[in-house]
Amino acid sequence: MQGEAGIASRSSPLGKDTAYWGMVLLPAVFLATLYLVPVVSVMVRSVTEPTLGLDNYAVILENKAIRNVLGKTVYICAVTTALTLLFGYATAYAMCRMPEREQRLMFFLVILSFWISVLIRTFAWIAVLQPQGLLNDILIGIGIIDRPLRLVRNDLGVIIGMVHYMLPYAILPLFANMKTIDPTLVPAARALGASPRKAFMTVFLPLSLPGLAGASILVLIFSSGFYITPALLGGGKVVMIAEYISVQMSETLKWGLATSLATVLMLVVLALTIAMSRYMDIGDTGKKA
Amino acid sequence: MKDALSFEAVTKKYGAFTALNNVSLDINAGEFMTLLGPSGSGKTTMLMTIGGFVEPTAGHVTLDGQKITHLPPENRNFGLVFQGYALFPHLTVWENVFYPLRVRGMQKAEAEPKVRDVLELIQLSHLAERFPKQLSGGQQQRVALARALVFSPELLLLDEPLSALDRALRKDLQRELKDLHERVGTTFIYVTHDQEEALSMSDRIAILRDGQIEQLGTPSQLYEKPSSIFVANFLGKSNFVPVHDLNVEGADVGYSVGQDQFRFSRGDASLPQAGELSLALRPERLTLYGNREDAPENCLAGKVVKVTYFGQLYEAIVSTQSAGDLLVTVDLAHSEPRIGDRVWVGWAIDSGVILAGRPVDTDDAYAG
Repeated sequence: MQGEAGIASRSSPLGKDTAYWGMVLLPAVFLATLYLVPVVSVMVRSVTEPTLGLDNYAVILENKAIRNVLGKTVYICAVTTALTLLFGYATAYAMCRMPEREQRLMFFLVILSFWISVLIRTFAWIAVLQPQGLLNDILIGIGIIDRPLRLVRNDLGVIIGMVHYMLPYAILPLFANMKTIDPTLVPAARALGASPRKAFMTVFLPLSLPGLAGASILVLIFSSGFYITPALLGGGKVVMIAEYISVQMSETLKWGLATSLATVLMLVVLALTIAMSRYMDIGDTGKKA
Repeated sequence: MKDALSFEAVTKKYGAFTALNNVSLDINAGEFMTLLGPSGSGKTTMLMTIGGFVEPTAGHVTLDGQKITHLPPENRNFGLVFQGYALFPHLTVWENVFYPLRVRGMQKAEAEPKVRDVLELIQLSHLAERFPKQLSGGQQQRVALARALVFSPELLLLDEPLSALDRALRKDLQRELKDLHERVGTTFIYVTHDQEEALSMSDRIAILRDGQIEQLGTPSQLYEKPSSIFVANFLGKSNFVPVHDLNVEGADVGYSVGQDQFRFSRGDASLPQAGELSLALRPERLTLYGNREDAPENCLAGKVVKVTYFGQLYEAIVSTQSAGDLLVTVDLAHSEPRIGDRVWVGWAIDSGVILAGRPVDTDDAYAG
């Protein structure tokens, strides 16, 4: 394979390096014009509208409503991430232990949820969770409860919808990581005297930390920008940052405030990514050392 | 000597497949016992049954008379060395060796002398702070051994521990393992498909075939007096000469190969019942002679058709009329055999064994 690649690059008329730069040029131009420019313009607007200066950021710090929205966003994201990792870890762990056939089926089922748009899924959850919805009807029907549980238009509804949406994003990196863990390590730990629980805690869990770190970054970043799910399942009562920004943009027309909030969100996500990618390196001691 | 570990009529089935079929075996305390067999013969299933990872469908495993059939692996106190070593990649060599003591609730300070001793035993004290990935295959292998020995296990189970190493290193480690066995005195139960390894290291070997023990004995018993064509074929190289018309007079047995008559002094070995019979002759038990007068009583005329030089010896293939092609080893003290030489192949009357059946594929006899 290496030999073939060598021959291919040598026969390229542009020479090796030029050819490879050519390949990244088009996407680079595309990203720069359609992504980087708008992002920079958002950042510029946040310090120029309505007047030049950091007024918008001062508002973010002082305004109680905005602080509530930010607090709610952090809370929902943290709970969503924790629950998604917990369920995702259990699913990925089970998948790793399945025979090949069942594993492929599970993989397909996980991927399947990507095919259904977030809008449809959110409405489906409303149908299931609302007071006259499927779940409440069943629970009342079999007599477990006598008045409907409040499962939507609150934090719980938003978290259920978000965890459901995020699960594949946690399962896939976790599964990929767990597949790289030598399957004889846990039996080896057992043979050396560790109970199943201890073998898991001292061997499997530490080795799956890089996967956990990767999954948590993905889930945390995705959930911080959630818009449709909290808007619909929260029913206007649970306002997260993305929805708040949208309202400032399209209804109150405070573009300065909206862009400064967007900038804050972006910086937080960036900081999280950097912090977590550092942690991932530390987690992977076997390779690093 | 009391039995350290016993298999009592152990059967293990996976659906329709029988991995172990009514196997009984007593392993003595302090013994180096090898389970040898081709892949799928049940040797690894047997080892994992001892280790506690496989529960038998029927029968029992006992340790000093106590049934341990259903005891989980962590409560057995057996060391187990896996084929791929199974070192923990996130722990250093020291931490890997400390692991079995740690899960037994020992503190680092308390474990320090034990870990140091066992690292010295395998001569890896200077690499204690390294991670497994920074070690060579042979070093990883020794760490796996140290980790399996540090808690003074009652048995050490080894699952093809040398199969991933290159040939030269394997030879060295075979010697080291044998040494280690003598020094620590623990019972070693060793699984391999490598017959050379089995012969050079074991006190006793159990040869497995299709989930059953085909033959059990010391290396020389198995090599010199195989009980079946399978064993003769599996351990070393063998010629199989079709024989007929046995004529038994006490220890003396007359037999015919083609039209020629031969004599066999069987000692106390039993003879198979009538049916197709083969005389199994090791190549090193055959000698080439230039003329009939020098050759012993048992000899056949033939022509050298192939010669291979191996440094310390030659291997010649001699084509005979009644016994087919015979593989003969010729040591360097003899003159070099040449292709086309007319020779006599001779063997002593107490050489070889007479076995039931014929080899399925005669090429196997010296395919190596």
